[in-house]
Amino acid sequence: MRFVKRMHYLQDIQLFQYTSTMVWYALLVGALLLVPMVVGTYWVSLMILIGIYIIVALGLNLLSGYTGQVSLGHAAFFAVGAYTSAVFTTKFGVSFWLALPAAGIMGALVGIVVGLPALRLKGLYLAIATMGFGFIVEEIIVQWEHVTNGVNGMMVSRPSIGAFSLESDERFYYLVLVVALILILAIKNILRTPTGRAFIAIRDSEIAAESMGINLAIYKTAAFAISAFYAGIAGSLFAHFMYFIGPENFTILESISFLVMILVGGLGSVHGAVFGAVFITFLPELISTAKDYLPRVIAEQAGLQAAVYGLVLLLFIRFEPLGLYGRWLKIKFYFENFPFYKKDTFRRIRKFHRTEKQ
Amino acid sequence: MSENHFFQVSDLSIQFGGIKALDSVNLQVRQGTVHAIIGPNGAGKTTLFNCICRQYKADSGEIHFLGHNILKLKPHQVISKGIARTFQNIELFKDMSVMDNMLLGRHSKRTTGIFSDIAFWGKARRQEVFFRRKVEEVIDFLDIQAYRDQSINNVPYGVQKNVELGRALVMEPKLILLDEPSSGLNMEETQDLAFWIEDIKDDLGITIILVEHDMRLVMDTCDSVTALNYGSVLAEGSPKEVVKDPDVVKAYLGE
Repeated sequence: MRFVKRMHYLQDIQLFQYTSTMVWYALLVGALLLVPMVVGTYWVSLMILIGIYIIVALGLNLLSGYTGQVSLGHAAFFAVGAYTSAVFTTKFGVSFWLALPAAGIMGALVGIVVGLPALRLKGLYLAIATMGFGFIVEEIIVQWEHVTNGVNGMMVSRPSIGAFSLESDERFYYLVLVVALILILAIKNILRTPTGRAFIAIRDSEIAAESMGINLAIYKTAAFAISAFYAGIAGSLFAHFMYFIGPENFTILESISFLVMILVGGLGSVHGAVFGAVFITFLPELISTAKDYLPRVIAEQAGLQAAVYGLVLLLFIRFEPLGLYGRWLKIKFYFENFPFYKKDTFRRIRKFHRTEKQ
Repeated sequence: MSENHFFQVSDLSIQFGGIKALDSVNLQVRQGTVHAIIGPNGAGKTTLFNCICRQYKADSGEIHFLGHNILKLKPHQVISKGIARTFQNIELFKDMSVMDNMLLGRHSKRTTGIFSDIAFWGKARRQEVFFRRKVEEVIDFLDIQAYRDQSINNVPYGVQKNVELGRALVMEPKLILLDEPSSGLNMEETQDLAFWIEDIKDDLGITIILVEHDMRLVMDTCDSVTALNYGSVLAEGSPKEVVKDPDVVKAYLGE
């Protein structure tokens, strides 16, 4: 067990609670920097995808996990970012370094537009409304041919810094790593300041949030905007990573897989978004590896992957609602308090004295 | 501004369907006093609070606080004028720690925007330090250091009540509305509450309006009382006068 001696008011919200934590994270970043030198191209490209999905999951977690607004249309924001970046770089010849933030900002603007009507919707209705928005964007991509090339998709090139090209996966990997780290830091900062607390307050009790002086309209819209900004940035990276984007990259299934990421990783935690993105990106790999060992009847089923997704989600919701991050916390707690771990430490106490929502 | 006009409700009415929840209610509260609102269940006490905090839209009437017309404000603007409230059935942010709950009380005082929060440098950092210092002061005042880092889910009911009071105090309001602060508390906790109410009034100079059923607490702490029944004012005056008022006795005990 460790005891913290509080010497400063900001001690509770330091990024690294203990020196040892800082050392571990430094080691992790060091290891991530070494990845392209150690593993093959295939694994590097998987890591890039993970990085991109981490960015989306961070944004979606801010919206759904922290602010409590479920979005089933996040692939749409992802698509807006991807197409903004693709159109800007290929049709207008804008540099990638301008197109990347532009993709984020465009995502944020669309997020605000979606967020405004969503102010009046809650829970299931909001989920369905955002899902409808996802379908609309998908359809726009298909139909708006002279901008998006419709179903033919768009070819996108990799960026470069002056003469230094990021053409190879290894170099692109560092770009994604840097962007992801900056965005993780940004979200950490949001969450430890009044803005983030306001988001969480809206999730827990809108009526109390309002009486704290939180303008629900502004903060809900802001949550949508920030979340869509993240998805937009990720979309831009995705487009330039894949060389080619088409409407089939941004379907409802993609939205659901984003949602599964944060549910499996852990709703309402930054670690959860990261864990979830890693897990969901590796899952298809795991499934295809496992196929060799499964009986043929199962291995050759067409919907195997979707079924496994569903099963994983069900099992997590039933047995580990806090997701992988919750499990991580429990393991950590077990070792920190070694002989004293009790199963009930994390059990939630049921309480019955909450007011009816007005 | 005369002291009489600190807080004034005049002819406030609100109707839900055919039920007149409040029927031209008048109420004056002087600065620096503790004012109790009593009445049987369904008398409209909490409805009155909800009207003041703009959770309900009053049909007619006016509420003035320090010269501001409260009924023209949006719900989230009420606190910026200096009115804080607690809820009858605790409305805390249940997945946050006690500390974070109370920090939210400072929200209305924030001067930074979302972008400076993202940078978390300079002004945002200083503001956070200042907020935390204020919260620590209130934690100290209410004696809840032991629960500082615990999640609201794991904290006993009595402490939750205190946290809610603390969250209102952190706002540094001029007027606090306490909705049944003693409900669910045991004798000892109620006595603590009585002391805090005195301290809040005398040391912090905050005016209090409370809805309360515990007549002993009302007699001990309050300077004036309004009795409501079926949405209209039955009696008004000092606690001793009001409890002896025949209408009030009739409302509570029947004929």
